[in-house]
Amino acid sequence: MSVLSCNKLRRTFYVGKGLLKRKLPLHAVNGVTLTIERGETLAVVGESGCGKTTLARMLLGMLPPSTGDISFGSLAIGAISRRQLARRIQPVFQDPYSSLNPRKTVFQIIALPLVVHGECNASERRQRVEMYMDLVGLSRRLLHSYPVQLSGGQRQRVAIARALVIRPDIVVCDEPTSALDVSVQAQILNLLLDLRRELGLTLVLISHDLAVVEHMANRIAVMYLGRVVEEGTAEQVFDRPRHPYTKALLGSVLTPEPELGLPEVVLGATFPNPVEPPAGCVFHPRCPEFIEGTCDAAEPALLPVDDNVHVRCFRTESGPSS
Amino acid sequence: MNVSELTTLDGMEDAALAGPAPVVVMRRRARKHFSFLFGLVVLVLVVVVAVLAPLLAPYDPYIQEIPRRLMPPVWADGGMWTHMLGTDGLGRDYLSRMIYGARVSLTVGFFAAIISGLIGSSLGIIGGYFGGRVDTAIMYVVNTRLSMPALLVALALVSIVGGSLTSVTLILGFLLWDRFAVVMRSATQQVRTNDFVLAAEAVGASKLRIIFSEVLPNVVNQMIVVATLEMALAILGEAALSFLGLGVQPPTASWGLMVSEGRAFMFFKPYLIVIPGSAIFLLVIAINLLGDGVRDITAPEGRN
Amino acid sequence: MSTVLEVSGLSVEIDVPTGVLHAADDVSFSVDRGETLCIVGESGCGKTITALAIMGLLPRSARRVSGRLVLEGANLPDLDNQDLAALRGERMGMIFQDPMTSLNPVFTIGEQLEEVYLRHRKAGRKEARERAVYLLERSGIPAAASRLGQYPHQLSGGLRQRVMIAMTLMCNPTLIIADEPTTALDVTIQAQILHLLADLQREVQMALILVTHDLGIVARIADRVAVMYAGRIVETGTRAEIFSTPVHPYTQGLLRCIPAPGRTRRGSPLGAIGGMVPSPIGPAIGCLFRNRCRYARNACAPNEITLAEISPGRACRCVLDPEESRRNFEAQ
Repeated sequence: MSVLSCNKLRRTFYVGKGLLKRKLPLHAVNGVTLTIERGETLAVVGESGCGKTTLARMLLGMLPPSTGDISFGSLAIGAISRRQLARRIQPVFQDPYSSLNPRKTVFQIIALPLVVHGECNASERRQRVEMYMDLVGLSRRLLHSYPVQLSGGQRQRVAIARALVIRPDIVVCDEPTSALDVSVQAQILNLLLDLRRELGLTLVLISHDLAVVEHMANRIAVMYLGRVVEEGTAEQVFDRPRHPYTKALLGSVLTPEPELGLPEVVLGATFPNPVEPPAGCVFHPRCPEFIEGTCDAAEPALLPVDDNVHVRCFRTESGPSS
Repeated sequence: MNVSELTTLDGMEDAALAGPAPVVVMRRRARKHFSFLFGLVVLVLVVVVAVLAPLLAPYDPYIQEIPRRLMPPVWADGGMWTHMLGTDGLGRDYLSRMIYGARVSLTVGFFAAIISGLIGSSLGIIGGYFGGRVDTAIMYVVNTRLSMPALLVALALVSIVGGSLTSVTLILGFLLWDRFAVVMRSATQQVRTNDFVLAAEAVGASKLRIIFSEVLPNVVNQMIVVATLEMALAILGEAALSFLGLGVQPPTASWGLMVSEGRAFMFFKPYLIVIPGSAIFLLVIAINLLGDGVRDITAPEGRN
Repeated sequence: MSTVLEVSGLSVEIDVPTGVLHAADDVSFSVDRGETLCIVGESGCGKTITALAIMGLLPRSARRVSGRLVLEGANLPDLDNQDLAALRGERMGMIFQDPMTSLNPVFTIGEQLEEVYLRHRKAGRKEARERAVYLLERSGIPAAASRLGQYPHQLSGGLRQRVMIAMTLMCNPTLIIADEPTTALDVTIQAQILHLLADLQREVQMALILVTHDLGIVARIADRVAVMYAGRIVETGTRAEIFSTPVHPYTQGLLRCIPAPGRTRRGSPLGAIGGMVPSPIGPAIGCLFRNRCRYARNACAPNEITLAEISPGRACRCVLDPEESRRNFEAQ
């Protein structure tokens, strides 16, 4: 039984300026189906505008889907109260400066979930907070400090402790290290790896940093313009990407290998307008493997290929991929 | 629990704090801030004088001594130390009337600011937090209020209801809330977008708890700044209304009323107007400077 | 003379309420024609302030305390504001990090591009326009002529950055400083922009200083590298030298922090540098990395540690013997 699954999830916003103009629909997330097993780390990758943050908000129950459903185990998200949902899934946000209330101490911040859920009395609360501070590697001396006195890495640890203190099943990390320095990123990533092992956490990692993703994830879903275009295990997606967008994305990653030069990325620069997406496959105007007549006529479905990798591409539909 | 030594070590070394606590920073700033200190000292002085009025005032402010009317203050020709600030047209000691007048100004100032603060901040915070239709509705109310010339409406209302300390305070309180609403609304909107508010929602905190526990502490310093502004406006408003005869009624000592009563003697005995006028000026300036100071002191530090 | 810019002993201080902040301390390097120098470091290391100091764009609260900045023979600090302004845009240009805010929203692209040219050259509007169109196309913007009338908000981040690049090239400068030019862009656009910079540099043979925190970018585009930490340059060398045989413990630590195929295994912990950067406020004594360095010893504390040359073009600011340092790194 998967710990979290979503089916044909769609979220539509209506955009348009002025009182008189008709508002046009923007499908930020358009038909996403995913399952996450206990103990897994699923990474959702894509560039800006692909819908990964909107997807994360929906999984966290903070944004209702326009259509489609989300289930935790056998329970639909609608059947779970807000409080109950909080015990199943918690977020860690990207910006360590805006994710902590500047008027509260570290203790108050980490203790908030306990207070809201009425767990522990006052003395137990302090013990629990200190336990989790130890767990994330924060010195207990920081208990009564304010966020403004902490470094970016320390703040992110506070955010992680806050997310874990009511022992959720799933933690959604939205770009948890992008705003941190390189040397601190490594500390936080190591911490997440440790916690995953120690606490048996299930992680959903939203990121645009493929190096980080490759290091942390078991499974990967690649998103483009609100759709999943490729999904598989980390090995499958990184070692043998099938979708042309995934190939381009991986090809663009600049690993610290000085022998290689700059990668040749063969992607057209015409960005899709999410309000008026291209007909057929939404990626086709930029696709180096575009097939005229097929790719601009209909939208491909997300189908399993070979070894259970799912790809949304006409080229892989017919038989083994190149 | 067994955590990787590498991670724990990193965190433990991170026990060093990058700077002092916000309260300490504010205290430090306050000590060096001239406007704040000046405003605070003047306001505190006026409050003390007002509270201790019965002890400080040499005479009863209502007792008339017609033979001693229109005595100049001690620094002018014919002035005497027995009536340090002279006497008014009805022979009442001016110093005592000034001291008791402080009570009127401060009462109107404080209470009008509190009433308008409660009304305006509630509207602003609710509108700013919930957005959407709630916000639109609240903005209609605010815009309606903004389109009214406040002082004229106050005049009209007071002339209907009758002037008194209570009516002036209440009417000003129910009219001066617009700035609170606008400032609190935009402050709340800014705080709302922070991730820590989202985190509190994700934890399952109720909207009420989020507003009081997460949003309010972050907007309260702006509320205080607006409160000082509105307090100053209320004091000026009362002075204006009393001057026009529509505020506090004689024989109560109100600085505005004293200016009005001194009008008849303006060219011969200017002190009758200058003294209460200066007091109003000084008090209002002090409160405004105090507000500026609070704004500077509580300004959030930039990202390091 | 092939050296375009020579910086020696640059120090910048900023007055803050609690004291004096040493933003840059004794920074020295040089860049030649056709060479790409990457200044790499984490936040607060002083790389951006160095770039601004070279351009003469320091914020009012900062002052350049000492150092020579020689651009093709002219010592920049000696010039008055007018001469410096004449040099900016003409001999040296800067590309900023955030494409959203570096273009003026109330003027069209064409107006902004032409203005640069007209300000420095005695030429007509037509000539400026032709050059603008040429450079926009060279920067990979199709239908460039029609873009001239567009406003910045009508373009995406990647396109705006290309416009910025075209703008810096309007007067054919000999030096371009790019401050984190791709940080705010998507990964697939990043590669394209970097390609553009590299191609243009090859064509025009200008000197390029690229300031970044991303070692991946450094690995792929740099000819030479200067590593900065806490306001100082701690190591310099060629790209190959820095990545294969880093000498300074900070450089070694940085390289261990990033996942690299072949070196780091999936799911295993990354190397990390414990501790925090010391406060830049107040006097800086000895090595500023010693509280985080696993090889720290007594000699690191009291004295001034200079940027010592190990071999031509290779320098390190550390008391350790370079050979010993190299062996430490290999032992990982």
